This record gives sequence, structure tokens and C-alpha cells, in this order.
Amino acid sequence: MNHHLDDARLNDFADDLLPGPERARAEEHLASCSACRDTLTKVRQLRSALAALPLEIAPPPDVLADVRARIAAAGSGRMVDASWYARPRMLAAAAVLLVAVTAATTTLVIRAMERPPGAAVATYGAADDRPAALVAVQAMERSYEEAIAELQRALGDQQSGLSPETLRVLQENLGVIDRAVAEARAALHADPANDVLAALLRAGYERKLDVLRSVSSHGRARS
Amino acid sequence: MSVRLCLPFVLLALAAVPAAAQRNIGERFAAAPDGYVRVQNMAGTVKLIGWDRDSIAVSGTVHDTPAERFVVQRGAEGVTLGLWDTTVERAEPSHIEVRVPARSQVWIRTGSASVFVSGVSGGIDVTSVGGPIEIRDAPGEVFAESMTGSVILDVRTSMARAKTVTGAILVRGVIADATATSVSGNVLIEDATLDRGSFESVDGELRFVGRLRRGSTLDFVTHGGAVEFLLPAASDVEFRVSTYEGGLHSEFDVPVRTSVSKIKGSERTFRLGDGGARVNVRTFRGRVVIRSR
Repeated sequence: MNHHLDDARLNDFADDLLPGPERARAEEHLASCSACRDTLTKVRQLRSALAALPLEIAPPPDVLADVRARIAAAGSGRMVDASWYARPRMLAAAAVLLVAVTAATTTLVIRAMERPPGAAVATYGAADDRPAALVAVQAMERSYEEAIAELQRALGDQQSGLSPETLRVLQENLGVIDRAVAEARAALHADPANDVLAALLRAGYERKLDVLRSVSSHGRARS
Repeated sequence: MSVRLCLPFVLLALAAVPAAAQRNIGERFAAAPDGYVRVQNMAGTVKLIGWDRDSIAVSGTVHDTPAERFVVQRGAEGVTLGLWDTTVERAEPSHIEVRVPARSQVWIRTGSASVFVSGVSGGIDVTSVGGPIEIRDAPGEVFAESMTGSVILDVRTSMARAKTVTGAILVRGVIADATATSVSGNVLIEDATLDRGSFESVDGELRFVGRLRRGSTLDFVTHGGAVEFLLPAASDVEFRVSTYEGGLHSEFDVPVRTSVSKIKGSERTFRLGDGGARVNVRTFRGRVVIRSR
């Protein structure tokens, strides 16, 4: 609790990049720190959402042409020499490209995972956005469904250790969530640009993940 | 062998078997002022109190099980104490009181045991299957989760998180960043001074009673549960209320601007006073009620 895992370590943990002893220490900490477990789940959800994005996002054509022209002008030697990054014009062009790709990626991820409440008026019922919005909604659903399936698989491999009464209550409440998710999903598919419905669907999925994570972390507890 | 000869062996054998034995505990030892304290108890109570001493005192009545004994394990960085036996179907209650250095980092896990924590200024992390949790005073940060038990946070802290499945949540105090989420439990925020807050329930009700801090931003999200605010007549709040099927009732006589979706749903925005705080409400069918007190 007193030594939370920082972002870099959580990312490395999610990527399975931590060396053995460090991974063991991280696992021990995660077993007793709900806050870090939550952050780890969000890291994994973000990765799932990123994985669901299109593999290629074309940058604006003029930016790419500009970058190509500058690379060609730099000579026929190595495409990337030791000092290319030190040239201000190349740096600026690369920065523009990076911003373009990042902005497109970020837009898709944010649309899929989180919408700021203040954005509701601008897109409320904007029918023109429907195809793009529907893609974003489906990407969000996929990322959550994958995270839920992963947790359910993990739970399937372990004894819940919970009493039948507690399990019954949890099943009932998972049913409550599933009904809410189904209602929000049906409404959102009819009105995919509706930010409020997207937020409600996301909230439903988050609650389901919460419950499954709780069952997982209490796996060996008896109530 | 005569009965007289057998008796000592029988007594010895009985003494060696700790089956479901109840016993009193009392132990005190030096501890780091900011070390970790981990407490586990399946049933009964855990009362943990921070004090201004560099020592830990453990007392109470515990029920050992045939497989596990209540233990106190001291390490270089902290102490782990309690009893956790996954082999018993229903644990007998153990009642544990622990006094710890106020700056300790506290982690508590229980099955059905209730938890009460006060006087701790370090971080607190409590998880329970079904036990009620109550945390008071000024922890560095607090995370409390009970599946079916209630959670009460009456704290002054930078960050507080409360989660339940069915249990009710009560949030009070002064909190920079507060989050409370439930599936079907009600969430009550009462006399709380918050900078940022996020409160969610799928079917439970969300209720805010008190004054909103100027500059604060609070989000309320429910699917079917109602959202109710009981605010002073002279409040400075900018409301943004978005519902799909739910209605809005406000006792404040202010103009409401409504945006209606082409398909369904509506968003209503209005301002009380000079709008010093921002409140965002989103529901699917939950009714939103704003009352004046």
C-alpha cells in the first residue's frame, strides 16, 4: 500500500516485461492493493481498445509527402542517420506526423472509452456521425467484453471460496448489470452518437468488471 | 491401562488440539512509525485505531480453527496478524482490536467481519466480502470495498474510494477526490466538502445532501436509480442533467435549457446562483430531483 506501482512498472507488468523477482514483488503488491489492481485493469482495457483500432491510420497526405520529400532530400545513404533527429525541419515534420497519428488514435480511443460530460450537447443525436460513432461503440464493447471474458476465464480456474448466499447475491447483481448494459446497448445502437448512452454503457461495463474483480480478489475468502 | 493412568494422556491430547478453540490474546511490541499493518479476520470484528506511539498493541478474543491459529508475524517493514482459514465453511467470530502507529499503512481483509478504523494518517485499504466498513478521521488515502456490507467514510483526505455490490455507501467529511460506486446499493453523500466527486450506481439511488464547494465538479451516474439533491436555498451550481427516459423535478425556480435528442433522451442545463460548482448527472431512466432546504 505504501509503495504503489508507478505507471511504467504497471505497463511493464501488463506487457509481461518485468524480470522474475520484480514481477513477484509486483504480484504481491497487486494482491493487496486494490488501487493498483484498478489501474492495471484500466491499462489492460486501454491496450484492448488500442488493439481493436484499425492498424493503419493514414495521416494527412500533404504531411506524409512533406516527410518523404525531406527524407529523400537528406541523401541516398541510410534512411535514418545518427543526426537526422537533430535537424529542426525534420523534427518539425516528424512532430506534425506524430501529432496527426496520435490525435487520430486518441480520438478513436477516447470516443470508445470515455466521453467528457461537457461534450454531450455538441453530438447529441448528430445523425451524420452515426457510422463512425457506431464503430467507436463497437470497439468499446469489444474491449470490455474481452476484459470481462478474461476475468471470467480466470475465475473459472479458481474456487470462488464465497458462500452460496453471497454467490446468489452476486449473480443477481450481475443480472442487474447485464440488463442495464443490454438496455443501454440497444438504445445506443439506435442512437450511436448519443454520448450519454455511451457513458451509461461504459458505466455498466465498469460495474461488471468491478464485481468480477472483487470476486477474483476475494477468491479465497469465506463469507 | 487403568483410567487413572490414561487421564494424563487424554488431557495432554486435548490440550494439543486447538479445534475451534477460543482464547484471549494480548500482545504489544515495538513497530516502525510508518510500517505496514496487515490484518485478516474472517468473521467477527476488527477495530483498528491509530495512536501516537511507535508500538502495536493487539488484544481481543479469537477463535482458532482446526487448521489455523491466530498469528502475529513481525517483519522488518511491518506486521501481519490475523486468522484466515479457507477450509472452514463458516468461521467462528474473532474480535480483534489493534492499536497501531498513526502513520501506519493499513491493509485489512475480512469475510463477514465488520471493520472500524480511526486515527490512522497513513493509507488505508479495506476489502470485505460482507462485513460493514467504517473509516474515520484523516487517512492519507482510503480505499474501502465490501461486496454486500455497507461502507461509511467520514474522513478528511486527499483521495477516497468506496465500492459495494449491494451495500449502502455513506460519504462525509472533506475529500479532494471522492469516488463511490455500487451496483444496487444506495449512495449518500452528506455534509461532504469535495473538490471532485464521482458517484455511480446501476440500480441504487444517489443522494447528495449539503453544500457544494465553489469550483468543485461532481458526476452522478445511474441506470435506473433516482438521483436526489437537497441543497441550501442559496446555492451556486451549474447543473447538466442528461437522461434517456428519466424525468427532472427541481424546486428551484430557474430557467432550464433543454436539448432533445433526435431519437430519444434529453439534456437539461441550468444554473443556481452564479454557478460556482458543476454537477453532471446522467441516468437512463432514473428520476432526478433537486430540492431546496
